[in-house]
Amino acid sequence: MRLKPGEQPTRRLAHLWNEAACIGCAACVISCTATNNPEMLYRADEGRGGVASNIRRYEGVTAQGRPTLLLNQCAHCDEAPCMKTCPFGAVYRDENGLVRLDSRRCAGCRYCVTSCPYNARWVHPDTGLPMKCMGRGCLALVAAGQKPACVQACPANARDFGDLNDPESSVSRTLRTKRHRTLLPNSGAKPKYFIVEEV
Amino acid sequence: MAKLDHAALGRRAALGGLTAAGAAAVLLAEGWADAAQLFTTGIPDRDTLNRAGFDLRHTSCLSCSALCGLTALVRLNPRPGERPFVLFGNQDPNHPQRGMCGRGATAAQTWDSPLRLRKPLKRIGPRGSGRFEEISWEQAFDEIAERMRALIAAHGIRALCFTGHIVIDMDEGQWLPLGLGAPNVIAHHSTCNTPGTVARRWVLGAPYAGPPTVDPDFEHARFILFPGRTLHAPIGHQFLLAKAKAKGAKVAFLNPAHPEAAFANGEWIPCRPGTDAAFLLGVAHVLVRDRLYDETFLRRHTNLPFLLKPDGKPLTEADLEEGGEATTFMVFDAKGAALTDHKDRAAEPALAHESEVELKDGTRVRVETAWNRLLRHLADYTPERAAAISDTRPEVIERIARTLAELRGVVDDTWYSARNGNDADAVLAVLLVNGLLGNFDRPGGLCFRTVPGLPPAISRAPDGTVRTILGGELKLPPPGRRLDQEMFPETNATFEAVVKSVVDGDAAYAIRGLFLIDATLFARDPNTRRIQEMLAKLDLVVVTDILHQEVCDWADYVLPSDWIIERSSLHTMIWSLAPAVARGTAVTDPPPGAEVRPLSWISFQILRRLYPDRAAALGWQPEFEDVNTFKRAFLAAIEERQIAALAQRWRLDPAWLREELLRKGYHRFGPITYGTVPYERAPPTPSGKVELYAFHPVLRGLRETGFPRHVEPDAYTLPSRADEFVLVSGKSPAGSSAVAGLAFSSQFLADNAVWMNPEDARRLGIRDGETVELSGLDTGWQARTRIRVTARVHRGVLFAYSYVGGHRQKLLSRLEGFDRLARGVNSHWFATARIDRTTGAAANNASVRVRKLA
Repeated sequence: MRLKPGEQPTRRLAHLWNEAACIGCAACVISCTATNNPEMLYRADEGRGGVASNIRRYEGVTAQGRPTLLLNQCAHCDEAPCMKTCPFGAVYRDENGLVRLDSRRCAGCRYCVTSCPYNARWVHPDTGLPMKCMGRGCLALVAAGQKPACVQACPANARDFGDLNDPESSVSRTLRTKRHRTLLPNSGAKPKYFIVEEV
Repeated sequence: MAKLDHAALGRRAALGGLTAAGAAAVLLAEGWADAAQLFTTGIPDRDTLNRAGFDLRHTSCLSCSALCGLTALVRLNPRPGERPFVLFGNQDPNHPQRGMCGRGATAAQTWDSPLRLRKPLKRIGPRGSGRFEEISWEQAFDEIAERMRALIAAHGIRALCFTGHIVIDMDEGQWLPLGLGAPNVIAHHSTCNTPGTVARRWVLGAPYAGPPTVDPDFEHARFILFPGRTLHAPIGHQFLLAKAKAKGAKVAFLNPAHPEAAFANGEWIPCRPGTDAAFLLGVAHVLVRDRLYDETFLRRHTNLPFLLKPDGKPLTEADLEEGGEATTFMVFDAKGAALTDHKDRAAEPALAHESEVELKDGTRVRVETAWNRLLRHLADYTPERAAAISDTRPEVIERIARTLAELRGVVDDTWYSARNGNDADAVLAVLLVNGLLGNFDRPGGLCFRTVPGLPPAISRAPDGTVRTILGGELKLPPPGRRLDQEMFPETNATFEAVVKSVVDGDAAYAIRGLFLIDATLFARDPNTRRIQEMLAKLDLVVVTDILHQEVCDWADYVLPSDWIIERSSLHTMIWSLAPAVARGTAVTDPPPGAEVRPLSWISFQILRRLYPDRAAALGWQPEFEDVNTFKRAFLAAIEERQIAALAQRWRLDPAWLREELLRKGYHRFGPITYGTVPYERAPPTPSGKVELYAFHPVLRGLRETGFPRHVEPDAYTLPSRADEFVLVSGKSPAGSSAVAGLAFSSQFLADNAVWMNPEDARRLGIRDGETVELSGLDTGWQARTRIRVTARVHRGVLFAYSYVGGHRQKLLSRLEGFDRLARGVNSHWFATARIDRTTGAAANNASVRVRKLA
């Protein structure tokens, strides 16, 4: 359900990825496709040159030479640039605090793709729609009280999902007790994709 | 070019409403959510779930051979074009081997992959051409049986070889070779676990030789060092390790390439390939030098107090007196200050002792304990020297040793470890360090698996008699010794023996016909040119598989078998230290148009054509021509009998056990047991102790010393120029397996470039993404590949994931979107197939020269 201007979401659902627990197996990446875009199981996201998944995998190296891994996705920002730049009001926030797309309003201009500081969106080759977390499959799962596919797929307990407004949710407890960060914290977007730095 | 069946949809169509593809996604998702809602309350009532049009079915993952636990949500009446199932890791946190990695996650792609074998194929072009025609099952069986009959008549049953990976070790892979009385069932082990299996057999005894029989207690570990192993399989162990890490456990990986698992707060210790033994001997040096070892454990439970003669062989009673036992070993009793035999329970064997003894022939020799000899042996492996050999740092060796001792850590004993041909010494060194720590069969230590006792469906007794669990009995003569064990007596399987027999004629007899059961020969065995030569020379090549692997192109017949998610399965949970079995329910039917069959049915169809009496003796009945009747009446009866046997053994109600297996997908019959081996039950070694000094190879004249040592790999020419490298292969958790390696997503998630360290790249002037030419120093094989410049590989080393690059089956060029599977290299193109004579182990690694292309 689309929130009206000034209305606050009842829940603030957020993803959490523990980089200190992630074994980089990509089960989440593939499960995301299988759950949300099964029609893309044998097709690449040519725009980004990879699997048509809402989760992207990056590798890097620290200044000390230590290899690092980053899994990135839509952060369902509290001040989402994609919402502000969409000329047609197609990008909106729902009652759970998730940033959603109303495909009926989307004209395919891709302003949202460009404005995302996290490069989280990809364009569906058939529909031209800008895709991102959460896809339809996971939205349905969440509506049924389940965790999204990436959380259920993870073999190392490196992913979680829950309500930041609920102090007893597992994500709230983790964020209270463990060192964590968000990406580009000064972007003004107020992202809700949290990277936990310790197990 | 064949087009995949995608809905061709435009943006305009989507604006007008849901697209067909989108609608399919929504239907699946909504249906899944409906069913998931039922699941939130706990284990769902299956009737309720079924009434809603869904089912929840547990199965096991065979995307690699680890058989981790999966759960599928199944739509009972899928609409046309709708995906009938969604797979996840089994969510039960108590599951001993739960989980799904990137390979398991490709199962949805594998099921109806364009590479899926759907009908029997007969070759119509030259071997290797990949040209086939589809034929009926009847024609395939008739023709294969006819050719086998001629081959057996001319050369005997021993001229047939059956090879495979995990499936050939399972019940379904046994029916045909056992029914035929074939001796040559030669699996993949030499390029996988042979070094570890041989080393464990020497140190711990035959029951603890296989890779799953001994493992770290991951859930309770405090510190684990992984030499060579990535722990990308079984992924179920990662879940246990995550529990340990949450309690503070640390992990370190000794590896030339940075494994993905090291991203998870793990320490990566980059090293030179083939030097694990040196590093570990450096660790042992520190443990001994700083007295960080468990002296009580060493004195009571290892053979380090045993006396050795100058030739390295143990001093026995037979050396000292006429009629003495050669299996009675001598120790020095510190309490009685005299020699005594090792079975003397009143004695206190001294760890340090050296003296002169008179042998029965009157000669006098100096004897010393194995411990004394170990001190001298380890003196050669100072941290400085070990670090120089392994290209690590002495302070790292010192720190790892102290961490192991202080945290009572454990060194993983490896699974697949055949990389350099000298890996048995590395596993001996692993066991030596664990022995010094005394951390055997204790929480967080190196523990011994308790098996649940699942009886096999079919088995062969030493006298050749084949029996089935349903009472079938077939009297056949003993099959005789396997060809590979004639050449390499210590091996558990060395397929190169088959290659030698065909290509070189260098064997007691030649293999003429080859059955490949889920065996991706080109991704599995070294020296591709030799493999091709062998396949070209054989009289008959038959492949059964689920996907069109490269080796299919070389087969006379390709038979499509069903996949584990399409059939019931009952198997030991092989990687669980606690006794447990897993039962899988068929998640789905085969994809539309796939005439796939169970391997056991395929086996019977061939056997009944060759030997109707044997097939009947093993339980075949005419009505089993109908494959569904075969499944219902035969395979189901086997499972029923196996469950009954398990119930009897563990004193459970069979009906309850069956329901439990259906409900949870597994049953654990008891907890992990600690404190048994070697404390209450002696290891079945020659001495009845943990033989940190391996007697068996010394007594057999296979080795001069029973201790591990560092020897440079001789399986490949060592690099000597600036542009020469060791090419190391390893596993990606996102794609490295025979099945997942052919998944669409593996083209993107399991990098098929060759990795090069930035230092080397700078030196050679090679930039990231550039294409270079690799030439095998030993095989001369040349290939072009993209280079990825990354700090994830050690200097002087190139790295390529196994199974994910260099696929050459002709079908790939006819499929849209799968062309990237052909990119990259297969390290076996460059590997030599030189076999370690002592163990029978092959090497996957090779050495290559890099040429920058203009």
